[in-house]
Amino acid sequence: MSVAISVRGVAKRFRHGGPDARTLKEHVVTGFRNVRERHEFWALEDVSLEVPAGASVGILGPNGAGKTTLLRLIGGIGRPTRGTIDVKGRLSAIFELGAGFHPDLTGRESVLLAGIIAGLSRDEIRGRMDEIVEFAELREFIDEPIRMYSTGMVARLAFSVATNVDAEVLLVDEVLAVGDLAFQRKCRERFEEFKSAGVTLLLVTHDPSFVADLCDEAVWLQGGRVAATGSPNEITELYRTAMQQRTIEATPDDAPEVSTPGGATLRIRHNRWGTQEAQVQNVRLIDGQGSTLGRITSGGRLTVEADVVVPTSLGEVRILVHILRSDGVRCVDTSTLVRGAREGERHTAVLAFDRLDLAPGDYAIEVGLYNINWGKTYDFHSGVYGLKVLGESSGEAVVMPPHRWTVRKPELGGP
Amino acid sequence: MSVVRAGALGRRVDLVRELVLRDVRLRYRRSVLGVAWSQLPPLSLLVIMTIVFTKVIPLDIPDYPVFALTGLLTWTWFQTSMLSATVCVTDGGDLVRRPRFPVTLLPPIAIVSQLAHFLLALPVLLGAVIVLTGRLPATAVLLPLLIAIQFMVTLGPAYAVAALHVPVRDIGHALAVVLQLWFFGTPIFYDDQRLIDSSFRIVYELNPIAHLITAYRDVLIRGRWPSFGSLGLIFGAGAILSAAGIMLYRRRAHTFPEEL
Repeated sequence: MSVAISVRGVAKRFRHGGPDARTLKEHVVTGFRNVRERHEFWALEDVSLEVPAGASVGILGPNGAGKTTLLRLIGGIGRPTRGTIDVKGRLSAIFELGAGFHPDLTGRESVLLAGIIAGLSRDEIRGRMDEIVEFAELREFIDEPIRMYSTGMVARLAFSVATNVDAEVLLVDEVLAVGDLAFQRKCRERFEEFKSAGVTLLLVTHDPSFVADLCDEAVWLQGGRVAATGSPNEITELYRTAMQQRTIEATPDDAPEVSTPGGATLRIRHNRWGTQEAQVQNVRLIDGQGSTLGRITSGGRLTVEADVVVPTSLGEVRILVHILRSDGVRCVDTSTLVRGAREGERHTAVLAFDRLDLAPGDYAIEVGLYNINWGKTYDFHSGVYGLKVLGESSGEAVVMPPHRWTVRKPELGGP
Repeated sequence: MSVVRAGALGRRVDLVRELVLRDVRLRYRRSVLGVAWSQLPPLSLLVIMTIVFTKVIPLDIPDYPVFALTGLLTWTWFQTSMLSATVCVTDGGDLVRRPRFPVTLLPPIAIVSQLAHFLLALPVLLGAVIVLTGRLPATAVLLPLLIAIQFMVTLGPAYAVAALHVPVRDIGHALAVVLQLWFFGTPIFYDDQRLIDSSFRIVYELNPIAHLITAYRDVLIRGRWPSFGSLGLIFGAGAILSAAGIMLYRRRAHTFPEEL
């Protein structure tokens, strides 16, 4: 199989030490030599990687691992300090969605320009204008200048252009963090289409589920080196472990103990983890009758309510709820976005199950608060909230949907 | 992919056209007079010069307004090209940081954008020539050649300042001073022959813009063929400088995304 992206022994050094652009005076004073001390920083140390044509590869790694630097170098922005990079096929890239748009140009002018830069002719991009605008859902705004757009609108337009230029190789840096859920779903569908059309995809993301769903292979980048390559499942597991490790390290040593409405006690570094920059408080498990005893009947109603304290500076955060069976099997995993609120105010997140068809038994509920790209854990409560599902036990199942058994009598007759 | 691709050259042409349009659009967006603003500085200077050098300090140059306008428009194209080339990389972050964007196109695009303003003013100049001198000489057919030579002369320095302004931001300030001195050392509002006859002849001989202005005046006003020898010389020098400028620029280009 032919190779679409080939990265061999790539290293990249950045120098910093004050602003890089120097004035003539500084050059004269130092005699045009690099006298001033400059800090060196190797963003990538030795990266080799091959992506076969038509494959989808996800790059996972902690912050500062060099993921974005690697993707940019592959995209031809900057040059590696050492090593070589070859890309075969028409390249399109989605970096910092919308960063390439000038605020005073209209949406339409921006699309035209972006398309031509990406390698389409003027006529080709004009022919696709409707499709691009339609996908971005910006019909009414396309002739307004970009500065009138919200971040989400710019991101949608940038995504729409970048995925409409007949790319053979598509580089994607952390796109799915922007846009609302509906648009994220559209993005995913578009990636699926690309995949079946044989487009080579290389993605950097913080969202392991995205890699697991879409990629054939994953790369674990750490400290500027490829630490592991393997199946998406193996690598996302590594990622989760590293994330947990990081969350543990970021958890403060000391914080006041808090009692929960259910009567348990939240203790930091014991059953509560995360940086505590934002917090989940007063988690309530409410059954169909309004009681908060933490038990429901199988197929009954359950409402999980939590107060969320998020400083405005954090922007939007994600709140997550897991329901785990006593042996750790994750039965429910769902999340939503919560906006930051002013000091002293808090949102209440309410997760309502009209009927929770879990098999009778003991369950645990975990509640977590994460930043928008899942890269950081603010608050995570584990092993605090118990849920007892009552009913007639029926073996070791997870779910118990409404059902009924009948046994028909044998029919008379026959051969 | 089965779709037939526009050739590399066609793509470049589209790209240059779009970027020049973008330049012109952005400069005058949200202004009422729009592109007319590009004509106002040289025209207002022309009015002042005509008053000063025909009434206050008479220079006795026939058809002074067209004489001065020829010099002014030529100079303005050169000067604004140099100034916008200086910032074409540092202000072009949105383009420089895009994958596949051919950064080498930025300085020529700056020159072509300014050429658009020169061409917009050209009808005014030709009209003034006809009104004041009563004819448009046949030698005016050489205008496109002179424009091509001026483009070549501007290209090398434009590449150099664009590349050097990225690490050393003094270039823009220094260039403004140099251009001001250069303006007065160029026979724009005074007669080229006076400079040639003076003890500063060397200033004229070494100044390609001065030779160009003389050539523009030859073909538009005096109705005679320009000195092909000196035009050939400055074209050759311009080509060599352009090659050097592009080399310098290419060598630095990979550092642009980091240095912006």
